[in-house]
Amino acid sequence: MLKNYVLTTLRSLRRDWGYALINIAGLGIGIACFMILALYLTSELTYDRQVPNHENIYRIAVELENERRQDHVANTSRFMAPLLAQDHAEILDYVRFFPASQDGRLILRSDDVSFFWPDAYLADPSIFAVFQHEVLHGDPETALEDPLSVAISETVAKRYFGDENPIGQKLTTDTAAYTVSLVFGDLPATTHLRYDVLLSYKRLDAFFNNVDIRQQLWGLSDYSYLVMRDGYDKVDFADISTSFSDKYLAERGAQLNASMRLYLEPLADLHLSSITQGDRPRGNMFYVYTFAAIALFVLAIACINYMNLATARSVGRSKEVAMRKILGASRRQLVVQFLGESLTFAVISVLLALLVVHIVLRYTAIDNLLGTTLDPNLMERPGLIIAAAALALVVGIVSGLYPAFYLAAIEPIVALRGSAQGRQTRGGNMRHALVFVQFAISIGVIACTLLMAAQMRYVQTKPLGFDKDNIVVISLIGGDLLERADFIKGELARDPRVISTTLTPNIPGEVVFTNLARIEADDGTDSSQTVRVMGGDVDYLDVMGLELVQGRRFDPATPNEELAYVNETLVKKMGWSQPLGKHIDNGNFRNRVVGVVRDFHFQSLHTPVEPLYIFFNWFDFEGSTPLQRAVAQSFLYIKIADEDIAGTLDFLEDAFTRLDPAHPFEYRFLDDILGRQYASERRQMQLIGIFAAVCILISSMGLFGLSAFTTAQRTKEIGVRKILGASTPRIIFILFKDVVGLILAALVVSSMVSYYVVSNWLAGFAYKEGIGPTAFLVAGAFCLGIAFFTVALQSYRTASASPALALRYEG
Amino acid sequence: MIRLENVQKLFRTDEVETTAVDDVSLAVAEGEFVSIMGPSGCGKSTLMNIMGLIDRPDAGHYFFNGENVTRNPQKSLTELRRRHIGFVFQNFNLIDELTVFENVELPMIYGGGLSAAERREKVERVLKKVDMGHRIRHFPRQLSGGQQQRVAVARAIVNQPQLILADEPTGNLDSEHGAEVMDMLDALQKEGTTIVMVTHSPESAARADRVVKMLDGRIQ
Repeated sequence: MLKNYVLTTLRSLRRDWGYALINIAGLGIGIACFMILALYLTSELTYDRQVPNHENIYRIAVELENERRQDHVANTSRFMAPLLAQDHAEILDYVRFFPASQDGRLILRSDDVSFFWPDAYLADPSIFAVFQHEVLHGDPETALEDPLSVAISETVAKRYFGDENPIGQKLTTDTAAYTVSLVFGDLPATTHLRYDVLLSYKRLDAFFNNVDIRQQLWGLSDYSYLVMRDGYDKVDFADISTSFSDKYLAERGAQLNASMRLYLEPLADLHLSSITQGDRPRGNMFYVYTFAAIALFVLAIACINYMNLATARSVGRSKEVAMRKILGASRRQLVVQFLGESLTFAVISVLLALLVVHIVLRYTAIDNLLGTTLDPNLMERPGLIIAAAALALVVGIVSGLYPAFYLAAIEPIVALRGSAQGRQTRGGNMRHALVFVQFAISIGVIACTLLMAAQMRYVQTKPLGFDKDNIVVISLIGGDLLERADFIKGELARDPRVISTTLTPNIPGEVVFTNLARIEADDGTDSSQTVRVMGGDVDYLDVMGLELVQGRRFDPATPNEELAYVNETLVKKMGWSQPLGKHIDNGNFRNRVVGVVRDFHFQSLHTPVEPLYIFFNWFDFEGSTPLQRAVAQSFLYIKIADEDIAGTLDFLEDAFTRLDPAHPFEYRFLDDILGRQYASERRQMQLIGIFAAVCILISSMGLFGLSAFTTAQRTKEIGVRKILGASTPRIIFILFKDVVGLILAALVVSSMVSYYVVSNWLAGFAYKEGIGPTAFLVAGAFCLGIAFFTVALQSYRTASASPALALRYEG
Repeated sequence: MIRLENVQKLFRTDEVETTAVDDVSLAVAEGEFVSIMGPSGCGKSTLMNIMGLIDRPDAGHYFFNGENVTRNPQKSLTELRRRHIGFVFQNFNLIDELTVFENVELPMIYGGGLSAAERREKVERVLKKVDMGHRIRHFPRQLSGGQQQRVAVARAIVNQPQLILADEPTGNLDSEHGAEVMDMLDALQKEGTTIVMVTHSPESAARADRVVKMLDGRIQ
């Protein structure tokens, strides 16, 4: 029996190769898209799950509360984890990570080779016990015990030492020479906290002798991870938090008028579920849901295609079905036969899809679009083959069930009679419903793409309140350089293409400080406020193009230390009648407000403008250790002219090679840095756009095939109409009319759903355009156009044929 | 062998009701060759479908081998059809995707209970009988009309049915091939098979033991 079914299917495929091609191509593309999205989603949902014992590893997060404001922060004090571990036996181990520089980048040199590495930390020696690494060289138990030891990734090792074993070799930073003690395999892409360079945390011991720990506990600088005992319930950590707070935080908290609650974030949840600030770049559950929905939509559309084409084809198969029934086939046997056909299609389509996925993973920039790295060797994993087989089974059954039962229900008597009744394509309503669903999905996805594109255009063109164009950003590292900042600025100013320069420790949207500051109110009392903090010198307002609405600028002729600007939002928040002269105490300095700047978007448009003060950026290394001096960092913003940018960059490179020979010349443009804030949304939008195109492609293929059957079925009708005088365009329109109503109905339904989805996405932006009708109308018109073109292409031949030929056709 | 009592069959649409078979009573004895004649639309094919358990009467009774099968469930009718009835159609109705061998084998596949070797032996035997043994691997589109009808006859008899229903078996054949098919039916009747044939052709009808005439759904 099985052989009979398989032979029938394969021979049928050969005979109706056009139908087979449309079906296999449609299913194949749909399955390929589904697989790629499934790989992406699997990647997103399995971050850090490759870490052994990840169920017992947690990051400590902090909830800061003051004056009814709550902030969740991913960072803790360096003292927190050791104190917790000392007091609580449930904590089996801990590891801390401290960023190696202000912006996380660290320069490493070996002989003449020097590079900046973006992911560098100081880490506890326990890191190799807590997080298992693939150790290529060295001893993980002792690797970071020496304060001047460094563990590096395979990529770093190859860059400096080729294929040699680098253990014992030296790598120098601005502050010291470190000995390579361990080489670890590059971390998998699905790692939340990524690093290539680990210096020993013990290097920091020198900084923190004789400090007030209770005060230091409010300085949030590290990522701290705890290993809890098996079976620990993180809910129980509330008790630990309470006792810790009472013992160590309460006193200082009272002074700051603030409280701190600790809680645990499971390691595997950090990528998608954390809500903390100061975290590493994260995924977004909204996108996970969106892409999961799109994956299912694309697959659904492909399956719907199959269903529609298979049932439309039933006209041509009714004779066969009738005979099989007359010859004794039961309905069950027929269902099995037709399910077998759909499974055959599904298997062939899955094989095609695997080929497509292999090509896409290996030869396209899909990783850039997805914002993650998919393993190009994925195809060799046995798990994938099993998953693909399961997918073929599911797709074959889901898409084949309806046609199977539809075909098996054909009455032999109706088919044998060969009457007009028998020839009518049954199930027209169902097919219309399926086309409706296909186009509803396609229109919805297109409308979402258009609306997201509009929002992206909005955020990219919305005035931010400061100048971001033609500003080159260069890191100045080390006290020697920073103390010569004025000289450096003077040297650069000699070139007329350099318009102005400023030195700041911050980058909008990337490096912005947060401070729990004591701020003077109108009545002279101080209150604790969480505020954003940036720094700038006398030229800051000019370079950034900020508008001073009240007060004066930092004056180069007079001392500016402990002076500050504030933004309008801070003035409003404090309810100041007169902001000038007010004081802001950050725990180290008591800054005096001399000016108010117009609000500007120093963070991404995801967040509203927050209260901000800009302190005067100055350097005093008296009393600093050599290490503190060596790691001090600020950013030089250089505003350059529009013309001859390449020439200006050459000039800057020459200047910095001379002025700062210790560091390789590296620069970034401020607008590029800012653009990265929306890189994730841009990628999502591009992806959704691509999948919208796929949806339309598959839907059109299905409509093409369906039109073929519909046209063939109505050939006699077309012939009669032509004899009665209908023109070819009129006939094409008659054939198209059926589809118009469906698409318009689909437009209405999908508009409502898209509106809801995009509204939720826009909720993540503090600044957004409204949702107008244009996107929906454009999406609907586009789909109508595509549908018309598809139907016209298919039916033109029949519509323009001689009516005599049409009437001769018996069907 | 089969007996119809006051059988009626109506076809209804929203607007029109047509009586295809009107109060027909007919008995066919075992081993008899009966021919049903009448103009187009007289109801003979409908009657044939009722006899073949493909369709149900709206009124009356149908006895097959003494059993009243009028209200039998579909599964039972399928089983009866599979075991006892063979069909030959005007349009041959071979399945295009299957070879001659596979077409003839099909009723045994649905019937089950035979091994592949047993099925092969039976197929080869009946194809030899209809002189189509040399075309066993051909597809229907590679055969002439006469050859296709011989294969259809082979398919109809492979399960050794008691009854063969032939609906215009020579309708699409020239006189020579039509005569060949009639010879085959004669031979089958001599072996004891009951045959009921619908035909327009008086020559073909004359080969039967009895001719039943129909007009407007009634037996004349």
